[in-house]
Amino acid sequence: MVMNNSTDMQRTLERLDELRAIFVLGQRAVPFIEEVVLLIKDMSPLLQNINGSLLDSARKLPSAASQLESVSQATEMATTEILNLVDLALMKCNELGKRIESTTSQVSTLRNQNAQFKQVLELTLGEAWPAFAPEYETHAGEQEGSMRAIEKGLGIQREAVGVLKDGMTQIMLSLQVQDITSQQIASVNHLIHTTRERLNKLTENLGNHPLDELENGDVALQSGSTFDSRARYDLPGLREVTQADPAEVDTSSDFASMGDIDALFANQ
Amino acid sequence: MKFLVVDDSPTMRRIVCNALMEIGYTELTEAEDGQKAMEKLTSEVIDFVITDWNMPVMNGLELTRSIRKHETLGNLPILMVTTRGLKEDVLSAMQAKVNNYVIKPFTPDILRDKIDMILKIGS
Repeated sequence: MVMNNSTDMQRTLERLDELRAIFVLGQRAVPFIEEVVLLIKDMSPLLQNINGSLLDSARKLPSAASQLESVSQATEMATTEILNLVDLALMKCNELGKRIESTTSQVSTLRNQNAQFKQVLELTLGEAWPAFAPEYETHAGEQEGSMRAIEKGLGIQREAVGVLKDGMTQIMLSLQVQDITSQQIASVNHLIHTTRERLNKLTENLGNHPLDELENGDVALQSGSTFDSRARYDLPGLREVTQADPAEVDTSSDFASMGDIDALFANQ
Repeated sequence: MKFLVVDDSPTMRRIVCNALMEIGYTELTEAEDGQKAMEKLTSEVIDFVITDWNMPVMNGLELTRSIRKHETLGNLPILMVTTRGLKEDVLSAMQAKVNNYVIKPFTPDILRDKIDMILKIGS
């Protein structure tokens, strides 16, 4: 009996020790728990801020997309204007070119007529021609000098027209950059659209209304447009670089050169 | 020889048409997507198609497949002119059975070479 009482007492004391240990742990844990509570209190406005920021960012996205779309439209309009001017300049160059050729032809005709006139004079004047010839030759020489000066001027003009036409053609080709940049802009717009959809879901999960319900009459983001996000502008002809063996496709790059394309189609 | 230029960008259609005129082809018609191109192809006599890849409604690849499947248009020469410059893109276009491929930006000389190449093989 004494033995049993002693064992029970021992057990009770052990339980009391355990209980004391729990109290000690509790006392030590209290400051930590208080810190956690304070942290949560601090985090609450932070989360509210993030929430607000998310909503704000998501609301601004359609406007950003709309601005990018405006850039695309503006460059399209500007490109059309430039193309109109290039067409006009090319037309004028062609007209000028025709006039230069016409004048060149007239000078040539004049030279032939002079030669014929000389023959007529020789025949008509007969023996009197040698006396008249020096004066004629002086006059004809001056005329030939003038004709050569005109031809020289026409040559310079012809060259200038050629340079202008080449320049206009180059400008026209460089305007292909508009198509390439508009595809890149469309790609960014697509990214904005996707980001907005994700933000919309996130804000819904945070207990907010879906953005589409919050917004009235805001600019709709474009979807379903086609674009090439990897479109790039190289100088026209730059991709024509040929490799050592034109029948082989260069495997060092993901991008195809004109040589690669030729090789692929030749092996078809 | 009558060309059909298919591109959703009016600028690009104009540039391609100007380049074609510069190299001596003057019979040109245009469409802004694959579907409108098919309408033109079935209502007009067209000898050569130059098409972009990225277009709304029906893209250039789908247009090529539609032409190849068509009873009477199946052998029409098709040149794809596109910004898509990856080798896998070129291979996809080849699988769709385009006759050749040009990456933008291009020059009239490149266009002429490719057209000549296609016509030479065709003849």
